Amino acid sequence: MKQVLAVCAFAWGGIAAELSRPDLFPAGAVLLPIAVTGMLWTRSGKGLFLAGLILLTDWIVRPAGPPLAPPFLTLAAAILLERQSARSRWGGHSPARTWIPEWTWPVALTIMGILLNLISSSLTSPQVTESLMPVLGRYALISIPVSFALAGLMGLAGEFGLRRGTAP
Amino acid sequence: MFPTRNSWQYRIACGAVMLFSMGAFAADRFQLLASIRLVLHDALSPGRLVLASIDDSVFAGSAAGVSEADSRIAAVETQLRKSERARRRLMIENGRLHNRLRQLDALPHEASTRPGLVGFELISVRVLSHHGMPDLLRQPFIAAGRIHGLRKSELVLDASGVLLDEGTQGGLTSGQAVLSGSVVIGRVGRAGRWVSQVEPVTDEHFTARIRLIRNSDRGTHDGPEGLFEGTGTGCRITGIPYTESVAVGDEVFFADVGGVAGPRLYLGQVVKVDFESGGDWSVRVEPAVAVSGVEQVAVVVPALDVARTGRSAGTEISLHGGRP
Repeated sequence: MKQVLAVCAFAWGGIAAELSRPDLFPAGAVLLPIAVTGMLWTRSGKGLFLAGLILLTDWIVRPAGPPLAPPFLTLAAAILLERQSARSRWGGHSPARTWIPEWTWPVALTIMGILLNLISSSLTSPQVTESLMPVLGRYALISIPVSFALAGLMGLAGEFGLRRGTAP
Repeated sequence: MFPTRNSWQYRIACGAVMLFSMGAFAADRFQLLASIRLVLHDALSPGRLVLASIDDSVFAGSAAGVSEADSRIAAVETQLRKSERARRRLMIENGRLHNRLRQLDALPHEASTRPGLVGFELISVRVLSHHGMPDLLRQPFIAAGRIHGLRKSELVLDASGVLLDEGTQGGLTSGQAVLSGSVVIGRVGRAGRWVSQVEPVTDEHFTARIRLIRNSDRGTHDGPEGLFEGTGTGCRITGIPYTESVAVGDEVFFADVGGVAGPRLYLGQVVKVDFESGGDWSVRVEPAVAVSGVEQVAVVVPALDVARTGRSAGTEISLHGGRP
C-alpha cells in the first residue's frame, strides 16, 4: 500500500510539473520515468496495473493520438519481469544471449515510452515529425537523466534492503 | 516451463491495461471523457498552481531576456491588433449611429443617458491546453473555474482584444466597460473548481444570436439578425429570411451577451452565402481567431451595478410610500 501511495504521489507531482511548465517539460518527460520505475520497483501485477493506469490517466488528461504507451510499456515491463522471475527460479542462468542488463531496464523502457508517445502524437499532428529532433532532444535532456537517477535509487534501495530483491 | 502465479498476475495486469486503453480511446472518440478530463484537471490543479507560483517567483527575470527582434515583432503585432480593434469599434459605432439616429429622437432623454444596470467584467485567464494537446482536444481548458467566479455559458474572448473603456466617447455616461471589437473564441462549456472547459465557436453545441454588419460605399450599417451555430468543423448562420440582404464579406457580431444588450463582440466574417429551399439563407462564417493559437483569453462575466440597484429600490419604495 505504501508503494502504491508513493507511486501515485510521485506521478501526481510529475503530471502537475509538466502541466505547470509545458515549455520546459514535454508531455510525459517526467511521468514516463516515474511510471517505469513504479513498474519495476513493485515487481508485481498490481504495480504494473497501477503504472499502466497512471499512464492512461495522463493520456486522458492530455490526449495525443491513440494511447500506445500504457499497454505496450506494461507489456514490455511484464516480459522483462517474467524473464527475470524465470531466471531467478532456475538458479540465475541467463535464458537468452541478448539479455538486457537489469540496470538499463528503466532507461530502455523510458526510451520506448518516449518513442511510443512520439509515434502516437505524429499520427494526429504532422508538426511533431517536422520538429522531431528538438522534441527528442528535450526528452533526452529530461527523461533519460531522471530515469538514470531513479534506476540508481532503485539499485541503492535494493542494496540497503529497502526493496525486495526478486519477485516473490 | 509452466507459468507461475506471478506470470499470471503480469498477464492479467497487461490485459486489463490493454482493455482500459482501448475503452478510453473509444470513449474519447465519442466525447465521453470530457467530464472525467475536467475532474482530473481539477485534481491536478493544486499541484500545478503551487509549482506555477514557485516558478513565477524564480523565473521572474527571464522575461527581460527577450531579444530585440522579438520585441519589435511583438510591437508590430500589438499595433496591428490595436488597429483591427479600432476598425471594428468604429464599424460598430457607425452602424449603431446610422441605424439608431431616427429611433433615439423618439426615446425619452433619461432612458438613453442612463448607465446600464448590468456591466461586464473581464477575467484574464491562461489557456492550459495550449501546449501538448490542443490539436486533438476540441474543447480546450483554461486555468480558471468556479472559484474564480466562472459559470457555464460565459463567453471566452481572445485576450488580445482586451477591455476597451469607451467612456463618454461611446455615449456612456458612467464609464461603463465596453468590449466592442473583442473576438469571441467560445464559451465556458463546463466550469470546474479550478479549471474550465471551453466550447469553441465551431463546436456543435455552440449557438448565439448574432447581427450582421456591412461595410458599403454609403457607410457601415446594421444588417439582419440570425442564429449562429457551430457545425463541428466550421460555423454557419441560419434563420435569415431570403427577403433580407446578406453578402460575402459581411462582419458577424454578437447581438447581445447572455441576453443583455450592450457590448458587441466580434465573431468573424461571412465567406459563403447559399439560398436554401426553405426560404432562408445558409451562411458560412470564418471565425476570426483559431482556438489552437490562443495562449491567453478573457472571460466576460456579467456584473450587476449594486449601487444603482440600491438607488432604484429606494426610489421605488419612496414612490410606493408617497402614493395614497
